[in-house]
This record gives sequence, C-alpha cells and structure tokens, in this order.
Amino acid sequence: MTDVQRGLLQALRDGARERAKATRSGSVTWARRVAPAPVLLRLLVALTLFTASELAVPPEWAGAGLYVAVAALAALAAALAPAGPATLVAIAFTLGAWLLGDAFDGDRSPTLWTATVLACLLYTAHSAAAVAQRFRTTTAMDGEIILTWAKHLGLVLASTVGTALTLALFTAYFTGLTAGLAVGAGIVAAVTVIYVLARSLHKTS
Amino acid sequence: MTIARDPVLSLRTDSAQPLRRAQTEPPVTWRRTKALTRAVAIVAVCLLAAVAFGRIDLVLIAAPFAIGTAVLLQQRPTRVPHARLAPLEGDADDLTCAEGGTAAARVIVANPDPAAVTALVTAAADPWIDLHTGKGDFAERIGPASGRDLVVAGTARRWGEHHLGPVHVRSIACGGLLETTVQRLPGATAWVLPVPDWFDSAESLPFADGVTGVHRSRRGGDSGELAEVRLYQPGDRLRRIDWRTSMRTRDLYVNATLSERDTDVTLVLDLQVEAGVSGGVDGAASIADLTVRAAGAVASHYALQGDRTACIEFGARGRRMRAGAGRRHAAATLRWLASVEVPPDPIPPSPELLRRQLAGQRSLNVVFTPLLTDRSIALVAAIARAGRPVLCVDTLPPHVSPPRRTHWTPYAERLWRLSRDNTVMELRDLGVAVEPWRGSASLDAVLAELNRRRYR
Repeated sequence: MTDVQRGLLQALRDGARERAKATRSGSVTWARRVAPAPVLLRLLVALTLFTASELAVPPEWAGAGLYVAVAALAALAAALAPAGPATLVAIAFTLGAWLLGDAFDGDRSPTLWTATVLACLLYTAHSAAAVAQRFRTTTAMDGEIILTWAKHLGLVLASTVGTALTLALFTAYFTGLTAGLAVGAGIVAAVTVIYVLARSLHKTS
Repeated sequence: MTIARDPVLSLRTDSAQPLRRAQTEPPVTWRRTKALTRAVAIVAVCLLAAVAFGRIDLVLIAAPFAIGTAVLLQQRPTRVPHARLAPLEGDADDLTCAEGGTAAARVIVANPDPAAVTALVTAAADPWIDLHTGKGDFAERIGPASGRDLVVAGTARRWGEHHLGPVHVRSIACGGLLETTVQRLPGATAWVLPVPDWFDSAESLPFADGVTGVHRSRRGGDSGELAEVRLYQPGDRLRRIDWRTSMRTRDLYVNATLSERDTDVTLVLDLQVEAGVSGGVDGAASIADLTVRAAGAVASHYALQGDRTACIEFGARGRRMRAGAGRRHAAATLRWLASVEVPPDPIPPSPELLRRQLAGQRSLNVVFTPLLTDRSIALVAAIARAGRPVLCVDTLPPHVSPPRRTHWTPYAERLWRLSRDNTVMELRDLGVAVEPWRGSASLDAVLAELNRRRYR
C-alpha cells in the first residue's frame, strides 16, 4: 500500500468516525431535550387512528396481515408528520374501509354505537394532530395548551354521544325512517355547518 | 455649461450596482392550516355520502368534526400578536456574559385580540451557544388582550462574539385551525467574555519607575522594602532611626528603604495561526483559547494590582488596547480580548511595525506566542536585542499535533519538535525567558530571573 492510499484510507476512517460521533451525539442531545407532551400527542394520533381503522372493518379483515400493515403505516405516517396530508389520508383510509366493509360483508350490521366510537376516535386523532402539527418532539409545551385541548375534546365528544343518543332514539321508535332521516339530517347538518363556518369566517369584530 | 450637463457628473461609477429594493419582512397575517381544510373536507364528504347513500352513520361520523370546528372558530382572532426581542436586563443592544455563563434575551409577545393564542417560539444560535432545554423551542399560551415575557437562553461555551437568534415566533389559534405566518426576529449579538485562568504572582516586576505601586524600585523612598542601614544625615526622618544599630555602634543610623512604584506591562498576542480544536470552556483549548485566557489572566492580575497594562495584537488586524489600570480597565481588557479573531488566511504582520508600537524602553513585554512562525520568533528576538525586558509565554497546547497522514508523520513531528526546542534554547541564550503557560504562578520563576538580571 502506497503512502497516498494509506493517507486516503486514514481520511476515510476519520470521516466515518466523525460521522458516527456526530450521529451519537445528535441522538443523545435529542434524548436529553425530548419533551413529553408533543410525543404523547403524536402517540395518541397513531393509537387512535390505528384503533379506528381496526374497528372500522369486520374482524376477519382486521386480522389480515396486509390490512394491519397498511393501517399501521398510515397511522405512523400521521403521527410522524401531523402537519402534512398523512392525517387526512389515514382518516380517508378508515372511512373507505368502513364503507367497503359494509358493502362487501353482507352479514355485518354495524351499530350506531360503533359509528359513534369511530367518530370519537377519528376526531380525537384529528384534533391531536391539529394541536401537534407545528410542535417538534423537543418543543416544551405549556400545560395550559393541553388543558384547553382536553376541555374542547371532552365537550365535542360529549356532544357526539348526545347526537348519537338522539339518533338512536329516533331510529328505535321510527324504524322505517332511517334512510329518510339520514337524508334529512345530512341536509340540515350541511346547511348548518355551512352557515356557521361562513359566519365565523366573515366575522369582522 | 450648467452643472446638470457636466459630463463628469454623468459618468458611471466603477462598481455600478443595479438598484435593489430593500428586503423587507412580509407582514404577519392569519391563515388557515391544513387541519381546518381537513375538517371541512371530512364534513363535506361525509354529509354528501350520507345524502347520496342514505347512511345515518356517516352523519354521526361528520358530527364531531362539524361541532368541533364550529366551536373553535367562534373564538377566531382578527388582530395579529406582535413580538419583539429585548435584553434580559436594561436596554443595551447586545448581550454580555462570561464564558460558561448564560446568554439570555427576552421575547415579548403582546396579544391585542380578545381571543387567546398560543405563541410558538423557535430560536437558533451559534454552535458555541448551547440553548437550554425548554428555552430555545417552546410554546406558551397568551391570554386574551395580554402579553408575556418569554426567555430564550443558552449556555455560552466559548469566548467571542456570538449570535443569539434568529428567533421565529408563530401564533396558533382555534386549536390549531388557524396560524400566523412566521414573524422573524433577527436576534442579538452576545459578547462572551473569556474566563481567565487563575494567575497570581508574588514577584516584583523589573523597571518599576511609575508613581506609586507595589513593585520595589531602585529609587529610595518611604516604604517597607529595606535598602540599607546607613549613617544619619540631616533631613532624615527621626522615625527611621535604627535604635538597635545606633546603640551598638554609638552613632545614629537610619533604615533606608526603596520606594514602591508601578510599571508598564505590555502584552503582545501572537494571532497569526490557530491550531487545535477548541472544546469550549470545559473542553480542550486551541492556541487562540490559551492565548486569550492567559492574556486575560495576566492583564487582570496586573491591572487590578495598579500597573498600567496594554495589549497589542500581532496578527492580521493589529489592534491595540490602550494602557490603563484598575478594575474597569481589567473588564475593558476582557471585552477587548473577546473580539480577538484569527482569520484563516491572514495578512502577515510586520515585527518592525509592532516594535514601534511598544511603550517606553522600561516596560515589561509579555509575548504570548506558540512559536510557530519565523515572524513571531524574529519579533521576540528583536525585542530582546533592543534591551527591553521580554517574557515569552509558550501558548502551544501540549496535545496539539499534526494529523497522522503517513507512517512518516510521527518521525517528522519529532524532528519538528526538536527543531522547536532548539529555537527556544536560542531565545533563552538571547536573554528571553520562555515559559509554557501553566496557569497560577507559572511566571514566578522567570520573573524572579528577570529581576535578578536587572538588580545584578
């Protein structure tokens, strides 16, 4: 081996050692700085999305390896990048699986309460991703932020359960009106949402 | 011919630059986030599907998204929070702290809107400022129509001029459905003063010829330093009579003393080359680290003792710190040392030019040099040949060695070190005391040697 080759080898070895040292020190720094609140929020996003996607399909689909892998991947992507489109993709995947599960599995009769749980899980994932979208895993968060989010989530989930209860009463006493009720409720809800959003977005004071 | 038509005035300048509009930061505005788009899209799709397929469960799934979005948007802010950077104390433009201390600034965020917002502060800093956990990247809730003082802080690991910033402030409202564009605060300059090594010297300095001080001079005067016991002369003070000697000899004898005076100390910092990797205040020292900390220690010691201390750079910039004494001058010297720079490709300085800047013939010159260039060796030799008292502090850290490239490297390094030892011996033959820097009392031996030579 010539001196030039030996020098080159030494330089390569030094470079590799420096890179390994930088990676190790970067990991140690991250581990030292990591903040619990944003990490727990992201963990909540992943867990709720994965649970919702498992709940949305019949048990035989939920146990299939491919489905579990895709659901886990979607949930993981949403947790790692809550600011990107991954959360919307994961929610759309769950909703698609919910509709397809009903369409292809004739024996399945999903109850209103399954839909309620699914709605609660999806909204929890959505709101947690909305709070965590601009925070890095090392961002120290004020406890007040988490408290406000938790209060809002509790209010919305309680309203959802109330809505489900109202719908359950309607469908129990007026069994034949389910499809018509869906159409009516959908239209009314759509008009209400459009009105509220338009009013909120154009509020000047 | 009028002035307007004068062809000289219409000539193009040598470096004609196209006029560029000054870069201004875009105004901070509120905008929707992807979370709001997502919520609206889910609600719309679910309700459309519910109407199309007659599915009541889709209405239920859309319900929390619709309720939650409507509730959050009720508290929608209209005015943008304003952030500005200020020092932690006082109203100075730049921050000052000691090496190993905390460089900190305040980020004042004011929320004029009746809706509460979350302020997300993300700060960057020099590699030598290690931002504290939770003080460089944090989110705080700002209440309605109120403001908060948030602190960005980090540990300054090395002396010098560092930059704390830029600081990015983004406000988030409505549970993450709305956010502002980033407000970029340019940051502040943090002057990190070197923490000098502990240095103490009990030895007097040669050529003490000032007015008053702590060093023994060659002139007589009132002090406690005994020069001789001699016969009484008219004019001698009675309290100086040595009664024991007078009783023994039956003649009046008095104790003659030497006066104590101050002197000039000129520190010359050789800043031509830098070697070694600095590890900050707790790590290994490079040549510049050792030079600055040693010079800070010596300057602080003598300035606080009352001697007039001056500093001169022997490098590309050639700066000079005026002579002075006292606590304020010691602090000013540390601030001057904090702005020391070793440019990577410096213009070589002139030893002749530097010799002309030295104070009178009778000041003590302390040269801090790693003895790596011919110019610095020539400078030290020239000062010694001129008959000035000169002390050479070797600032080459013992651990610094050339990177190993071939198997000849250790032998080449050994030869180079032998040659350097020869140079040091030649300087000692010229009467230059060369001493490596070892911190406390490291110069006592060479100062004593200088004194002996002076009073011989």
